[in-house]
Amino acid sequence: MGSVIKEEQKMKGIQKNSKPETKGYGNKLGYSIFHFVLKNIGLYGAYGILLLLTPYYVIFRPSVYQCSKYYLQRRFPRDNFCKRYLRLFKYIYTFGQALIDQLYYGFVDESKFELVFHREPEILDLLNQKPVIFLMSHVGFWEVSMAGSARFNKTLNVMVNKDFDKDKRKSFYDIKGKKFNLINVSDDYGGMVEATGALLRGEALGVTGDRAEGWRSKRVSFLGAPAKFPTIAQQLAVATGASVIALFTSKKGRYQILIDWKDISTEVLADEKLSKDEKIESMLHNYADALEKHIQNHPYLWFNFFDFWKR
Amino acid sequence: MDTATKLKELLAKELNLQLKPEEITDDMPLFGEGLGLDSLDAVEIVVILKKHLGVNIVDGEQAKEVFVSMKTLTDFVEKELGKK
Repeated sequence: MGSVIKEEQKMKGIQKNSKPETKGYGNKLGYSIFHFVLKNIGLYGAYGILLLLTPYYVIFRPSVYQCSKYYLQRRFPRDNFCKRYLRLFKYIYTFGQALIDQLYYGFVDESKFELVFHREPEILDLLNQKPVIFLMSHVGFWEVSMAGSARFNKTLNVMVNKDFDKDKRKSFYDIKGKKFNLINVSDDYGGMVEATGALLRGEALGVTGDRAEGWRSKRVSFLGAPAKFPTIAQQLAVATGASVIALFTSKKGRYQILIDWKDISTEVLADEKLSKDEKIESMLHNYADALEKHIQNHPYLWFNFFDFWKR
Repeated sequence: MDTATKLKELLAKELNLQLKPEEITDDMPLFGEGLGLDSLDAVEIVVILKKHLGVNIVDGEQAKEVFVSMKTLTDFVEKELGKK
């Protein structure tokens, strides 16, 4: 089964800035058009096309409203009909922008973007002290945030699901010659053995914190109601003593991506009065609070398209 | 204390098992029926082996062979510790 996919050899021969494969990741023609526009006209040309396409998705594709409403209605409960559709337009347009930015960063010209880690010396200190779990959320340019952590002098492992297409996303995980080990969560024991091994070796691990499907999970209050969060990062932290750093992105100007982070674990893990379960729950609350705070400041940047609160 | 007894005591304590160490039999499967562990418990076992015995499990493929039952786990640990 070979759980840790060693990408070094497999990625050989795949040229950077090559055209992305598109299976299951958007319309093939659409991607080709955006790729062409990004290469030949630039970011704002692609945004212009997106602006023309967005009304179609908002007005003529009911499924777009259906899958967006769970989050938007929680975040903006007092909206009337008109406001709801205006917000939906902005939400879908922002989502499209994030996809275009990621396409540009991953397959056209990453050097155009500047990734700025807030309080970078502090995160470096943490990384030097102990293994770190980067908890990613579907906020803004989430894959770029993990790719951005390639700047740190640590071996990086990323947990990916069976639908992950390594060729499609190779550029995010092959930044400036720094390779990531991809851990397939579909393998035996959900990739947990490899993840644990990586942390015990003092390496860094990236895992998604806001998708509970297939994972052991717990409900914590989020945007006014209990929502189901996976506990994988918190469980790994309790078992191995690793720090858990939640990463959140936002954008400033055309090419600057800001990566904010919050340490959700250090105080909790140091509290000897807490049981293992209490530590896990406490870290989960810290993460949910941090995500909620980020969403309050950047309401259109959390790309949640399913009922997170479903019982 | 032999390796099997030590492992049973460690698992019962660290994984908060309902069973007492002496109730864990050698042929008992670790996952599914048997001890009823899941993938997150695999994390704990990997950490227990490393922390208490200095034994590493390399990857899921190796874990699949080692985590079949108490006997396979014991055999693996003894082999790693050079007791065989």
